[in-house]
Amino acid sequence: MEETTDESIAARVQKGDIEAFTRLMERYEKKITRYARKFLADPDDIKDIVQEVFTKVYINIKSFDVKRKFSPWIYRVAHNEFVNALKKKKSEKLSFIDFDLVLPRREAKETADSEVDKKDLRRLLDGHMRSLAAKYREPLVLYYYEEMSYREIAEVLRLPVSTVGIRLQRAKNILKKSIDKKIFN
Amino acid sequence: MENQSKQSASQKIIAAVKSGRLKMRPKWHFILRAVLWLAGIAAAVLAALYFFSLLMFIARETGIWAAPVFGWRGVLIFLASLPWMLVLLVLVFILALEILVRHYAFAYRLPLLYSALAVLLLVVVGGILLAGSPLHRMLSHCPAENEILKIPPPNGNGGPPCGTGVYRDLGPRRFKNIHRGTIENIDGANIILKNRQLENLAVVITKKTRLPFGADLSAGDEIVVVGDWRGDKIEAFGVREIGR
Repeated sequence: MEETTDESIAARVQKGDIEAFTRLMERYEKKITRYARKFLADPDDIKDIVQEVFTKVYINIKSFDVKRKFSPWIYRVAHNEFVNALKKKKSEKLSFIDFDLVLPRREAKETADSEVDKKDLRRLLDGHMRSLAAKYREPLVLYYYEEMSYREIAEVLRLPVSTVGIRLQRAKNILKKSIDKKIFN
Repeated sequence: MENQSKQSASQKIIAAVKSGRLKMRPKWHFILRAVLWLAGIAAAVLAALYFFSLLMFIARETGIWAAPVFGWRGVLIFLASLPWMLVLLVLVFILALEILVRHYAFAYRLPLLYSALAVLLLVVVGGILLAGSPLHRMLSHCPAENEILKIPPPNGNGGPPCGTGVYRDLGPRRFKNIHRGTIENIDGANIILKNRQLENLAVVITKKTRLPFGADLSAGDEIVVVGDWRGDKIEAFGVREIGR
């Protein structure tokens, strides 16, 4: 039987199977490119960073624990690359201390948005994503585009799950304000 | 066109892999990194514990912890006497420990406040336990409280310095107005105090001296005296008995 899970393919890559790595790249290239587009505007920069992400994935694949899910791991690699790219470009303000992380927050419940809601939101997000700071944009992209759970997003961003919920809530509020402002203007 | 460029990006990586220009890091690289990270945490824990317990030990040995009970003047003396370099070192290692620990899921899943409090608690509790152990006394070569009176001063009034190295530099000799020791005898309004350096100090008790409430001082009592040197005597501003 053919192995189809990301984790089993990653296990084959770890053993030196180059074809398996090609399959992994095929599976994630579009996703990582879409993820990169939310942070970088220049197509050349996006292409370079996606290539850099897969290079890092290959170099560090043996640090991946095949008993865990592969997608949070690859998105973590991508997240680190984007943070480095944004730092180099200095186009985004990246705060050193994040006060959302300091205090305990009530555990945020995962909202059950319907598929229609998610599609509508994705359409809205495309037009207003740039009005959000990177720290709000990232969980929003992972939740609505990559369809990750709060727990998986928390693993990618290395945050408490409650902070993910709060950031998503704040991101939605900021977007709502931005959209309302545009409508009234 | 876009497809072509995407293809070439993946093909570039595969070509680099096949040619051997791009290689996977071996498993041992990650094991070594994890071990080094743990070693870093262990080193930060040990350093934070050592410096915090040293701070506690010095505060206790010199008697500076007793100064704040004598009001604002005591608080100022306490603040001026604290070894701030040691306090800074403790803070640096606590910060380093927090940064190193946040690498692990059990820490980053918690709010920063909780993990920082856990680190702080570990250092404070561990430091207090270590300060109570014989470690610093052994390293400093200082006599214990109950042994001071048994040791005769070798040359008249002055004895060997209590402590070596960092213990001597941070020890009682730094302070001009906090004196800890054991009462050798009481002569009228004067107390003869034998300190950790085995020196005999004359302490003058005046009407203004704040004495411990409800306690009669007698020879053999362990006390902390806060007061200025006046010539060859200490004019006591406050006296506090230890261990009662």
